[in-house]
Amino acid sequence: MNLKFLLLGFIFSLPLLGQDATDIVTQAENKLRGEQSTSEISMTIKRPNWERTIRMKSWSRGSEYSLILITSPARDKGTVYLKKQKEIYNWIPSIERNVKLPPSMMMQSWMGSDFTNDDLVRESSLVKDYNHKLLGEVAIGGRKCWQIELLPKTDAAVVWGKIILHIDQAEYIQLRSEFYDEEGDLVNLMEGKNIREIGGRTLATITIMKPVAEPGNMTILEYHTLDFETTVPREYFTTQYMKRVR
Amino acid sequence: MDRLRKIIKLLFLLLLFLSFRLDAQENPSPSKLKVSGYLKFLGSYSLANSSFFGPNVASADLQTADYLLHNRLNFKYRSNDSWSFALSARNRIFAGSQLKNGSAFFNSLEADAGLVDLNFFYGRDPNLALHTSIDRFYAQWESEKWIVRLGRQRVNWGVNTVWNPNDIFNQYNYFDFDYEERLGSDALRIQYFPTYNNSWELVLAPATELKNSTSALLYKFNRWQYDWQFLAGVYQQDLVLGGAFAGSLGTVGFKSEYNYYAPFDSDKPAFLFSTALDYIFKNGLYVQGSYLFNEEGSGDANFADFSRLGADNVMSPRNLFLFKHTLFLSANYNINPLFTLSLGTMFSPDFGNLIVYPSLSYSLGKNLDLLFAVQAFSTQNPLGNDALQWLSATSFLRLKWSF
Repeated sequence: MNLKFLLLGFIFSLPLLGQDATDIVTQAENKLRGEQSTSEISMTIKRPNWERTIRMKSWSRGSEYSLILITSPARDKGTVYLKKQKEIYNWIPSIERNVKLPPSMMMQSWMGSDFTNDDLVRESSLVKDYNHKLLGEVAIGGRKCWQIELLPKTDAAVVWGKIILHIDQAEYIQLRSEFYDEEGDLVNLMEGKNIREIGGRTLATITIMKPVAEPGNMTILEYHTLDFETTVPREYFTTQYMKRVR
Repeated sequence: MDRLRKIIKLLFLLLLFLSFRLDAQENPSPSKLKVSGYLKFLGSYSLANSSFFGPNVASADLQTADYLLHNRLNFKYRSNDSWSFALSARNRIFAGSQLKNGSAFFNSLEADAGLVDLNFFYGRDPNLALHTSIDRFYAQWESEKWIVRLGRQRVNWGVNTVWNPNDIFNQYNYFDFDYEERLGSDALRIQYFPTYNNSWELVLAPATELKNSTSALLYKFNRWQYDWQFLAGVYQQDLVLGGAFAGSLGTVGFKSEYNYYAPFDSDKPAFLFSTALDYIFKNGLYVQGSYLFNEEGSGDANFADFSRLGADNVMSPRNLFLFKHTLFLSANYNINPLFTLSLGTMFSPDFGNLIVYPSLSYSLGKNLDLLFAVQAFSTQNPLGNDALQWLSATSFLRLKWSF
């Protein structure tokens, strides 16, 4: 009887010992993505001569549904973005109208930042759209990481030719990600910083995206609040609700 | 009619009183009242080509320079989860050439007064005019499945970007970029959401004269990743039926909108149809192409028709542009997150003409924006063997501070 339990325990702990690269990426992705979540985020676009900060509230349900309300600056306040499956909408409060955006919007820079819409709402999936290979182990800022190479699957509609992820072994946090184009040149560098407990999980609350070709340019995304325990009704992700969100 | 006006004015006062009463009952917290708005300075200079007007028109009459200081204040008060109230006012100080038109200019500001005249003049000086107009003033009650709004409000049923046949309550004039909020309609509006995928909307917008009233029902739903809507109602002296969709062809956005008007007392129906495709390239360049068929539009326009496009002129929903067939092409590009270039062009195959509308916008600070725009019209010159010549051009410089 005792032996049986011991054996079961051994089998369940097996993946932790010799983790498969796909499992690691899946765990890291799930860490960021609650089934349902609400958050308050600020995004700072930094350029050598200026910077701008946008604050927003965000609601999400899986990767299919997300809703973003801009709360600052004043000129954009009240603007809402909705993504439901493949459809994207923009509520413009000054004209009291909802504008449906073309699907090609997905791969665009989001509000002029170094993040694309896809980076924020994750239309493509690091898990589903790529093949994963464990390259080895490295340490970043004193934390032990798995280094994993991602190559796109042949039929995947993705932007990158290759991605190298560095995932923290203790907390499955993406500490550093390198995005390469199809020619194999490094394009963007993403770093996870300020690791602390938020919304019941240990996460990097600051994500920095740097375009490598443009020194001094970066976008800093910071979570101020994050809640995975909340219930976000399906009704939130509708064009009806966009004008009522507050 | 005067009696009706009085009753409505009384209702407005009651609404105001009610909002204060609810205020007193609840425990007022500062976040319940939200104030926002902007302050803008707009300078414009316009020049017309003398070769269109002959030797009798003095060159001084072909130039105008105008200045506008424009403040908007939006007050939104939410007393609880069900009740909210809104009031928005625009305060404007005018100076420049337009004041020389005297009463014609002042009358144009009051042309769309609505059911209750909420326009206030503080002075009709030929050098400086000060005007306040309240363009939103409503009470709203809402529950999970219903929103009921009574008072002055914007009812925007348009789907397309430039031309909106479905927007029967208040047409948007593409060239009037400085007043994107548009005037409100005095209306009762009831929205019902049976499921999250569809909705019904009934709007009753009475006018001081019954024959100018508009009422319509709208049904919206989403299927096959397309948004669909159908409307039916009475637009002034016409029965109106319309519909629209917004979806995509691959990664290209695709929208269409139509309205059909059948007049009660004549047999001159009108049909309007607009369609648009839009796409964003990988480098961020946004392009759009659109076409309008406007049955009431002139197939034989002349250059004088352009004067109807002035910024304060509202085209009617039944006849929403000058021409029968019009094509529109535009491009929009962010040089960087602060600096945007855009170019809009329109032309009509019915009539030799080309409208070019380039603009540059630059974010000077967190809430400070600068805009430079030109609206240039060229057309066939009847005094110059019908050759295509530029007719007039207006340049605008605007500084906007949002708060």
